[in-house]
Amino acid sequence: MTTAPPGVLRAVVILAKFALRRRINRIRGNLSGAWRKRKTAAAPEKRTATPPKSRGSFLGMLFLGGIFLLNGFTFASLFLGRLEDELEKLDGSRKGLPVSEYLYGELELAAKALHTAEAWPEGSKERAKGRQEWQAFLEKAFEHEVTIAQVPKEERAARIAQWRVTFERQGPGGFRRKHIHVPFLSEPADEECPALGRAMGLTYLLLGPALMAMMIGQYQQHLGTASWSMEWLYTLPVHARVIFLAQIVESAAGNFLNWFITFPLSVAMLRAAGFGWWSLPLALGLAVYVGAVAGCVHTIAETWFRKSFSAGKLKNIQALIVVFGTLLFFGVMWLALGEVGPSYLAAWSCHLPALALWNPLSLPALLCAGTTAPWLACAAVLVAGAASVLLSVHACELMVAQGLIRAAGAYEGVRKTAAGAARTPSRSQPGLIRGIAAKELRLLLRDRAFMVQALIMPLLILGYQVALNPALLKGAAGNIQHGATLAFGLGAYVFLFSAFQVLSSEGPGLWLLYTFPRDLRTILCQKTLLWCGFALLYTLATLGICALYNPALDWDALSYATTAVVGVVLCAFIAAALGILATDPLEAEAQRRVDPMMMQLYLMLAAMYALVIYNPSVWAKLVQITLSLLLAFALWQKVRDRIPYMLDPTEAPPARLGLSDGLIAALAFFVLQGLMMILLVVGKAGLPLGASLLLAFVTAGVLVTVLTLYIYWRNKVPELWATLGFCAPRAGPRASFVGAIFYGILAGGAASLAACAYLWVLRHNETLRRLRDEALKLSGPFSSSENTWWLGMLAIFAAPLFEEYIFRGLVYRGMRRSFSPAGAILASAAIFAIVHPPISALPVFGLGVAAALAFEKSRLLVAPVVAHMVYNAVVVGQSLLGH
Amino acid sequence: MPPESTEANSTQGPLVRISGLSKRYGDFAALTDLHLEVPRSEIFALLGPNGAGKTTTIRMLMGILQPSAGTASIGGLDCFADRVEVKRLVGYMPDEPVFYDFLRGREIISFVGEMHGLSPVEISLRAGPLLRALDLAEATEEYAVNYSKGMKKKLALICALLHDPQVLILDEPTNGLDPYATRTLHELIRKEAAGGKTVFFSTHLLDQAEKLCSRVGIIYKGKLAAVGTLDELRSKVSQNSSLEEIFFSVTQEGAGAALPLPSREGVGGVPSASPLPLREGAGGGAGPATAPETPPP
Repeated sequence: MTTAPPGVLRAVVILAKFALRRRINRIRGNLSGAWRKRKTAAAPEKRTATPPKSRGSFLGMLFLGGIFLLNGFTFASLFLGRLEDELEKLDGSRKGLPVSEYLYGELELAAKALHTAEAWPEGSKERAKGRQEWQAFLEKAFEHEVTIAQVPKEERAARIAQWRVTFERQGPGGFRRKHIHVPFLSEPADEECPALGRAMGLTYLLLGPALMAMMIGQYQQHLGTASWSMEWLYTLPVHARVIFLAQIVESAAGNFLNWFITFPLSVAMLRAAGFGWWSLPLALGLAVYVGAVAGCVHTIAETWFRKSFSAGKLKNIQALIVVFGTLLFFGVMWLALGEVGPSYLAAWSCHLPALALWNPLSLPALLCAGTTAPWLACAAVLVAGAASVLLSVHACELMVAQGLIRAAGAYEGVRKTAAGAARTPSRSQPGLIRGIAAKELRLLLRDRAFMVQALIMPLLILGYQVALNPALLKGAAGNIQHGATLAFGLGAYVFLFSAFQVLSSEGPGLWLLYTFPRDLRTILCQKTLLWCGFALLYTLATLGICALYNPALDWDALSYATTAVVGVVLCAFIAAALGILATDPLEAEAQRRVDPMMMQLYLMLAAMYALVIYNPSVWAKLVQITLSLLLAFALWQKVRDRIPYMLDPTEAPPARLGLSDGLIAALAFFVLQGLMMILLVVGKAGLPLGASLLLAFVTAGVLVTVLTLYIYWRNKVPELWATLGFCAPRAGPRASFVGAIFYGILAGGAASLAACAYLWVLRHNETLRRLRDEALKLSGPFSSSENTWWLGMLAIFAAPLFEEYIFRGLVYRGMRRSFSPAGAILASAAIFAIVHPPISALPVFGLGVAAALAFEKSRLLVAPVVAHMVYNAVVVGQSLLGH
Repeated sequence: MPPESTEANSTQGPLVRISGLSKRYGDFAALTDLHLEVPRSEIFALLGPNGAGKTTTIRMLMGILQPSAGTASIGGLDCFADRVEVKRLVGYMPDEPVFYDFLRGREIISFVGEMHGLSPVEISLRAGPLLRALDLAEATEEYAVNYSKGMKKKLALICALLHDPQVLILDEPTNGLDPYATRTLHELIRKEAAGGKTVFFSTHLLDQAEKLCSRVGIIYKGKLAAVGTLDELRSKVSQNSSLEEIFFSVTQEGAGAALPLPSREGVGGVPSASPLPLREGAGGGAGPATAPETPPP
């Protein structure tokens, strides 16, 4: 029995259906969180990299789609509003006050009703009642109009009065609709059309190529891969033209940018033109049209590229197209949403002849241009769409008429002829840079996609921010603080795609690194250094430009600049370590290799560092630098633990408390406190300063505690509560609850004695006393009596609880893992000391040592908490009461 | 290779020693209690069907995976703990070599040589004859990703041989190669073994293994089912059987029992524990059934 191959339509449906199924599987797989567990399951039959189908991912897809669509609608209406305002400004020739469609309708209604009311005889009750009702109705309509038109409050009454007067004198004729009203099946409008249609035509003209370029860049992912699905589809019993038609359909249907941008834009445009509920189906049709044209261009381009260029060149071409598309896209966004963009758009569109709209990209705008009847415009769109599809299918068929020849297939080599002598391999230049650095540089120079992503994207994003907000550059140039932050931010951002990907960019070629007699950690460290160098170029260049504009360099400027530069270096290593920890090298698909949560963590840490540039105190900067340095070391410690298990699918180093967790918790604690204070003070919560401080402290403490406990619990850290000191450990030295309190009191007493001695020395030494007075001056606002109570609460109850959890529970226990007790005690006390103001660093160090000793002896968190309470009660009470 | 030096080498003990090697992924045992020793200048083939544990064994030899139990050592160095030192002695060729995009063949060779610590002069001195022997000399200017499969494997072999290692570990070396390349590869392996190198390769192509290797180990479902020279294995099954017949008889479903081997001084080949009763007359020479449990580090 012979089966007949499917007909054209059915074949197109089948091919497009499966291509779309592929896309949807990919998206759903990315959204479904359960695949990670499947990958590390025990038996190999169950171990699969195929993400399961889950309802969650389906809902996630719908939710994301809804969000994007909503975004699109918001931006589209914003844009249309701005455009209309600009066009209004330019087009002052039309008579009458501009009002919205709604108010115009109400005015017409009111006029008709008043006219009928006039029919009643003069002075009759009905006439008066009728007039009264409709006056009230009109007032309500005016109120509504000023609200939705967002007229500033001061002008509202004046505007309403103006409308009232105009209505009484001229009726509805004194007004005009803001938008041109072009009912669907009618002839062109008799009014002079504002340039809305032409402006929209220009927008579509610019948006089209941007969409097409981004589509080639994104969706075809790796134009340069050796395999081309066309080769496989060609073996099916269908014509080439059917395959191309299916590709066009698939591109059109799967072009998400089109659905989320063109569709809302068209809806907004048609509503502005007054199409009412017809806007939705018409906009759908227009979006399909734009998608079809983009799909045609994409298919032709892809076929031609693959025919003419080799794989390596293709990747570079794709990278260039992505850059071009992104630039164009940013340009369109600036035109549409920037400060001055819509005015330029309005101005240019007025010079555009209406005939210019008849190009295939701008056809959708014809519908509201008003120069042609809408039904003619629709017909034009249909014809143009069909023609472009047919033409592109034909063009592609012509291109492969000679067979599916590709520019360069796999290189098979040349067989040596019997008498041929081998060519001596050309001498490779022994460059200055060898080994892994040489390889990275070579790849960077040749792989344009990599170069674009790592080096050019940050500049593009910066350029986009500058385009939207030109004051950014002026602010950066004028103030060295802003300049330093900008320099740091640029450098840190470069790492997101380069140092963070230090391991995942090796991809499946990682096996080669495993054959070298070098530790993988060293190799990755060298790569990080290379990227550090690149980012420093950016940072130093930005700082140099700021210095040019700001020749007055003082010590402050130097400190900001140094902070920024040191920060960039530290961020390199933090990014690399986080990236290595977040990468799963066994994952074949590059997009899923890196855990995106770690990217967020890195950005958060970089942002926390950037905040410190604005802190005027040098001490705070030093503290931040030290903490970040320690964090980098701790993270690389974790990397060293992880590397032997990197390629093992099921083994992993057991999840344990590490120093890095404690450091991140400490950093987060202090930054959150600052943020909460800012929120409470700026938000004018009306609390006294001391109470705000207490609330900020407590909130930050609670957040950090809850988050860290949750993360540890999720990662199933063994013996979590015992390690942290919440309950007694199962083995080893331990003390009872009472014993722990006793230890705590002892330790607190000892530390307080030391502190009192220190304070006595301070009081009796001249220079130190001056320092102390200066420090106390800074805390002036806290000395008022109402703040005493709050500060007392803070000092005696809140501070010990949270600080001890973070510094003894997390940091000290993390250090105990790799250091001896003595080393861990001293180091954790040192960290504890530097996060306190410098004047109290020494006694606080003493407290740190005492509390850590108490913790070590009793293994319960109660002990250091009690110690801290005692210390705070004695010291703070003494200095507060001493005033 | 004169027999005297072979004697001298073999008294130094085997170069590759695997004892009690096991790997578990959760509940699943990928490899159980493997005992193997490979002396110098020997070509050893590890045969087995897909999923038997060959690649797991090789990865543990390369220090990529940590054994759940047992040890693997090369030249006296533990493969996991001293893996950086072990890599000096070992040249590795994976099953499907993947190379970086945008690097030419000769650049990849330079990269590998530099990472092994060779100077550029040494690299070109060593790579030249290898490239000529494997017929890759004209292709060095091409990007490695554009090579055909056979050429990629040849390039991987050159990378493995570049630093003149004592042990060659090859994962499915001739899988996917055309007859010319296969013949060249076999000649190269024989030459290297004759020159004193030890070759340890895994394959499921039984006829090639028959032609090339001196000793064979058959691994099935994570357990060593048989090990020995071809004659030894034949003596157990039937005199004129090919390796293929031996393989099928040894790895039948339910025939997890190992073929007992004549005990040799200092050489392993211990049958693995099996639930089925061993064959008649086999009980005597069997060594200890399980190696002592080594707690994981």
